[in-house]
Amino acid sequence: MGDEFELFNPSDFESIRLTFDFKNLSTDRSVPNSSDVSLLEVGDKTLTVEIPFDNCAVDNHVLLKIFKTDPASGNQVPIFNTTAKMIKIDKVGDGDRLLIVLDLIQFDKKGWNDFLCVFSSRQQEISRLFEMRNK
Amino acid sequence: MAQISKDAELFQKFLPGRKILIADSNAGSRSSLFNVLKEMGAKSNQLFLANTYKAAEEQIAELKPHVVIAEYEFGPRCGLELLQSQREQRPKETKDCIFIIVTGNTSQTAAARALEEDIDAYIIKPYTLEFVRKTILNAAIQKIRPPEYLKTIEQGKARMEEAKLDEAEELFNKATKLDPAPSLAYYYLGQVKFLREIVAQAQSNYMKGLKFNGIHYKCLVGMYELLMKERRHKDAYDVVKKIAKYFPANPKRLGEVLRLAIMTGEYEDIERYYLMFMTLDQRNETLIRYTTAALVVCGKYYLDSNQGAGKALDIFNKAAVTSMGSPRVLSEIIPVLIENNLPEEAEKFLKRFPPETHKGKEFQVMNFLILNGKSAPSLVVEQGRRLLAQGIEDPRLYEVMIKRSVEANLGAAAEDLVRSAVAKYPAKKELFESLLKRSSP
Repeated sequence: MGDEFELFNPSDFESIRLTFDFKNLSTDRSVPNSSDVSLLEVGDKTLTVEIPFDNCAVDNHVLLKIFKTDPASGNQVPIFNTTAKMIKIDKVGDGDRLLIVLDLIQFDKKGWNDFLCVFSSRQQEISRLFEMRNK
Repeated sequence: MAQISKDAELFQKFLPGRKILIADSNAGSRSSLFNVLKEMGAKSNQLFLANTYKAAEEQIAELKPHVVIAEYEFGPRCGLELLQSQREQRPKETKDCIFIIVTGNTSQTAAARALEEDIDAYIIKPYTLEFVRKTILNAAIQKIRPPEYLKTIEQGKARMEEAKLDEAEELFNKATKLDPAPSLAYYYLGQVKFLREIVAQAQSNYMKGLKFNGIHYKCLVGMYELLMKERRHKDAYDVVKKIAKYFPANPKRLGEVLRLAIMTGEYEDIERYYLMFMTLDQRNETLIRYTTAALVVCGKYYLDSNQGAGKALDIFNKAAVTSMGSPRVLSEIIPVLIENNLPEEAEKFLKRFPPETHKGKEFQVMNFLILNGKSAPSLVVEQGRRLLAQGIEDPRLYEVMIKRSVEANLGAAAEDLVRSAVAKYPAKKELFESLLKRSSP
């Protein structure tokens, strides 16, 4: 199909969708529902995630697997795996959620950089679009 | 670095007396943004949190915040609607407010819609705290201390609103020299020319703006509006296709694309559009409605232009499937098939009415129209009377009954029907009366 005929591009409607496997290795407990886990911040070698309230403690170890949903097949494609240590825990909401800062321990550096790149490159594209508007 | 600390200082000076609303259903996100803003100098009593769309809407009405940071996907609603709501309540003040979207939605659609709504910044989750700080700061600085270029444009806009077009034009001309890629200044110059009704110069200015940025939203929209006003539908269609491509999923615009595709006879584009539509995971109601309506019009065109019933039926079938057997859509298709002497096909479409709609007006009228094609006049008239007695009324029902009454030599009944039909549908008086005359000896 020629580009000139594309009234819109279906991929424009797709957002990067992540799913998670979150397991507290110290308590041997997992978050059963991936949609209960949200990834909010990325740091130098840290990730800030929000999970439902559970018996977690600073220094607990975690196994975190992050998957990206392939828009074409709907399959979950693994994009980053790490073991990490909980270095900060805050109760949020009505106390029913935890905001946890994870310090990454064992992970593939290239995988980490690729993971960061997925979001930073998209952010750059969007920011550029916004800058151009005021020109 | 020195500039950042200067900007941070300026932001801190801007903060006293300002209210900041963080609207996000995600508790962690609210907490994280709250902390960022506190680090940037905001006091706790200036920061307000909303965990639902409704709460955010109420806080906007009550607090009149100066800065709003909202999630795009806010339950079933969209955070952008908060800005629309604020703009409606305080149009003038909203211009000076800072509105930022912080969201997990990374799609082009969401970003482009935010851009169209004049959102100040768009931050995707997961973010780095440094990026959030920098983005909030930049957005604020643009408002607190806008560059000379934007300041000049704002002055020009104010003159334009006061209808001082000479002064506005002078300011916009000045602005074109203040930025290396001054698309926005050319857009407003185009607007001044458009207001003065110097169409060629308006178009030339939009073109100049587009030379710096081929997808400059405002220049494209300006050009589109100008071409529509000039009734240059073919050119307008090309422009609106481009807008829809780069700024997708605006239902109003998609409607315009489809309308222009029909007006310019680009029916094949509608079929291509449909193929794209089918690949989408999420199709909202408006998109479905526009697509279905365009398919029906396209199918009618294929029948009217004798391009083969097969092609038309295929398109009608797509419309029926897309609308999930919507009685409204089926009621558009069936009369066309009857008119084109395709009664068996019409019956197939009648069977697509969901069972729960069979007692409704649409099904009953369509059933009646099909019956009309295959039954004796007296039977048709009798069935029509039954429907009228049930309170089911439709001009097509009257039309058929008048014709059939005349055919069955029920002259007085036909006249009665014309009187009732005219009373119900006065705009169709001529049509009803002509049916009577046509059949008179």
